[in-house]
Amino acid sequence: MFSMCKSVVFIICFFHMLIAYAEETIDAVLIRHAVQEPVQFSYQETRHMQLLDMPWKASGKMYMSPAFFIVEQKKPYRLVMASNRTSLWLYDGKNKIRRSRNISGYSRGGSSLVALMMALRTGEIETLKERYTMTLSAKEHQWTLEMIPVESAMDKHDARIVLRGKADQAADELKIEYADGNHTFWEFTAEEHTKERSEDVSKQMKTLVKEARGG
Amino acid sequence: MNRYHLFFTALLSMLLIATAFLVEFRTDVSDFFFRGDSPETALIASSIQSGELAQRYILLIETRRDDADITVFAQALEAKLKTVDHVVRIWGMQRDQQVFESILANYIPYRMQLFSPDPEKDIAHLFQEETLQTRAGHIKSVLLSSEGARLKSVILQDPLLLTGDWASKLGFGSQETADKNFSGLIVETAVSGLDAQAQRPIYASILKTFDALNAQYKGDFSLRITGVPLFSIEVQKQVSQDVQRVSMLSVTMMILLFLSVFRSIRGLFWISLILISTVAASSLITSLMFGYIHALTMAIGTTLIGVCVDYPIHAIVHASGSNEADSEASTRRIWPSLLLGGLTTVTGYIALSFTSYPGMQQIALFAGVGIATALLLTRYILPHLMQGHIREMQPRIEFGAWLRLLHHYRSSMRLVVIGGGLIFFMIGFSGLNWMDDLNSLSPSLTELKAEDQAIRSHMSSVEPGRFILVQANDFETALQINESVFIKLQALKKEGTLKSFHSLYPWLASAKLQRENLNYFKGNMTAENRELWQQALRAEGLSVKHLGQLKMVETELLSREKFESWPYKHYVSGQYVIQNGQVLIMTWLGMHDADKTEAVVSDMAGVRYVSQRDIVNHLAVDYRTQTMKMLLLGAFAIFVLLVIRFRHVFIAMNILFPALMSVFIVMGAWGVFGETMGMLHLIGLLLVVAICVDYGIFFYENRAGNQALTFQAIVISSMTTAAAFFSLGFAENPALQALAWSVAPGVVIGFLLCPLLIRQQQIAVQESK
Repeated sequence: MFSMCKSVVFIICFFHMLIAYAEETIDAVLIRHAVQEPVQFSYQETRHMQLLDMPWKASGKMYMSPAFFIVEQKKPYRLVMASNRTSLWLYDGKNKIRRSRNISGYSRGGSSLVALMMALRTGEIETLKERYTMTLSAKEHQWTLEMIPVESAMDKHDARIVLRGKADQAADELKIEYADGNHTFWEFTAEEHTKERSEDVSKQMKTLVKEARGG
Repeated sequence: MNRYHLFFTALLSMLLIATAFLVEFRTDVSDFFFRGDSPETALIASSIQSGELAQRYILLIETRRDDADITVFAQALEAKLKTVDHVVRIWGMQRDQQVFESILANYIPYRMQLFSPDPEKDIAHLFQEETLQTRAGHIKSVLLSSEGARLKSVILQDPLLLTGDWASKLGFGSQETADKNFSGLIVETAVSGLDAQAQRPIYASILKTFDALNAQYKGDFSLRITGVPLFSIEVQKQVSQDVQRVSMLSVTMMILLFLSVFRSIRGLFWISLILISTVAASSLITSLMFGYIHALTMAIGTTLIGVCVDYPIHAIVHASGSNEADSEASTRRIWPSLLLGGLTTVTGYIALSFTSYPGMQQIALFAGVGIATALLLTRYILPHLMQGHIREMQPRIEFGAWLRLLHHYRSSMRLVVIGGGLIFFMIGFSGLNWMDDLNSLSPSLTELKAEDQAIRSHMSSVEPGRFILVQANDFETALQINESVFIKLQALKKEGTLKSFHSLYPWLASAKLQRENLNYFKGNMTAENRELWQQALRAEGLSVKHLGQLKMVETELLSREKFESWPYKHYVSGQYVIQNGQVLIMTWLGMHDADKTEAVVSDMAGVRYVSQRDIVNHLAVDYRTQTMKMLLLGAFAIFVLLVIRFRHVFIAMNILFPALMSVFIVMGAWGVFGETMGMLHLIGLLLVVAICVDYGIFFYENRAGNQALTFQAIVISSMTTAAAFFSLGFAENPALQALAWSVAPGVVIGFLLCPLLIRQQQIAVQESK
């Protein structure tokens, strides 16, 4: 689940951030990343794992605001993962269990991509640059941002992150490759974004946070 | 200044110097009140006194801010606390991921032999089709979870996830569900938890470190702290305050009393020096004999001032009241009475030392040395110090009113007092409430105890003070029994009677169980079961190529030595003890039904359900019974002494009579007024007998041949004794209060009864004339 959320956070951030023009610098792209109000996306996830004979697929929605990041997996089973800067709550609808854990250590200690994406979302650009070696490239109507974790700072399981989007548009693909050869591919579809819609998203996020935390 | 002055000054100086350099004070209350005779009590005592558990502080860090980085703060605090002197280890209550992974890495090779305490049943169940399908589903869930990448290597080594079974038995996995408004740290120190002196700077450093770090975080966090060292520090503080308070009060009352009665600074000065010598000699000898002297011995010992001052008071009163110019002669005359009085008092204290109540031996020795010193100084030094100043030490207050009253109504009052006293005793004794809770004798630490409970309830699911104890002659047997206990407790947990438990299994398992597990696995590694497993993997879309080959693990058995070489021993600290050819293994219990849990293990050889509080209170009942016996034995020993001295049973009985009547009246009063009574009250009553017999002897022998003079001396000495014990009543320590409220009234009643119940010796009077 963390692998999933790492990827999702990453791509959502870049949805907002990357109105990617080839001539843009990485800094300019990153600064545009910060989220100001709640937004929502649909996603499709495909995992290719050494220990699974067939790729595993999931789909659902993602929500982001300055305070929270939420993944609402709807298929193949319900799973809600909500996180703020310090904590992550997870409700597994299949097994009817809830869990929580502290993730703040990762953001400060330098090992969690999830928390790092949180930092990116709130504008901690320098932290992000310390964690990754980034390369931005463009081909005709498409841009690609490749991020290689700095070895000493990052999770030993993550190897390479690739974001891709159409010219003048937010990123719609994310691929995370792991050190063991596994990789996960994400496709995103942005949903309509208006002020009214933002309020609905905000309410939905509160409901989902409550579901993930329980009580 | 004569040679006696010089000798005494030199003696006192040497005593004080030796005391200052050689006496070691201790304040460990458990050491004073608690001694383990049985394996259980020995275990409790050793775990309290020297175990690793006693060397730890438990820190609970809290915050009210939802967005506060409490884990980061806890990690920073942990790093800083590592630099504090005498801190040897720190770890979080929530075992972190790295620790978990490190433990798993060590245990993976042993997963088969540690798999089940009941391998025949559980391994057969494992290889059923349905179980294998569930396991395959579980593997898939784990791979897709947040831990998938981390646990992949474990799954490759252990496709059946046997290590997961092992971890769940230890309670791993439930760690992630905790709320995060708090974080816990355990700080282990290198010094005994009961060494308050050494612990105090460590405690101060912990607080200082926290405050400094918290200031950097704008005071977002608060700290709550508990642990045995904290209790020790508080107990030491209380005991020290008690000793100071009791000593000050006792000494002040004594000085005021002495000055009111004698109005002689010189007399006060010499008596003070005698008492200082007495306390110094007692402390020195006791410390040399025991290696240390307990502060409570000192506190109770200060009451000896009230007893020991009796002898010089008698000497002064008799010397100043007689017509002789030679104080040595008057002291020599009353010496047999003083000696016998001292002997009976020491007899009382010696009887106390047979109660097997720890600490009483110290008090007995302290008292014995003190009384002997006071007697010898009174006999051989004081008369020479007083020489030439006797007249100025004459009592200025006359205490003859009671004697005059008795002169007129003695016969009728005697009957009333004896009859009334016995009836009072009979009525009161039947209603006596016996208090057998040793905790009630410890210093009152209500706030600390409440805080301790509150902190532990956050940090641990273990019910303190209750556990299952396995006892065997060797480690292998103990482990085997422990595994049987594990199976029974597992059943209790399943039915909801027991919420959780923490066993030494599966950290460690007996060689027998490890072999059984391996044999059953070997027997089940068949082609048929392999095919079932591969079918289950295929059904979940898992790779048969990577996970489908079931193999036996070829590794040696996990031994205790191997386990102890790993850095996880502190997770089971205090759970096993090997001493004196005995092995004890404990299983900590979470919330449970005590009766049902006890019933489940009651028929198992070598297994007991233990409640520390019940054990301690059982000890208290034993102590009380012993003390009651010693009270009777002590009274009898004093009686024998009196018979030997006077060669007449009736005289001995007569002298003992006021003391016994006093005891009866005090006990009757407690019963009538519904006061609770414990062993220390009984100890106090034994002292009442020992002290009141002195008055009986003085009054009976009347060696000065002057009843008024003798009574005068008895009144003054009983007042000083009562004042000294009365001072104990102002201590916070309940043990000292119990002594105060039994001895002080007993002594007063005893001395009042002397002229009423004792027929004075006519021979002595005639001799005197």
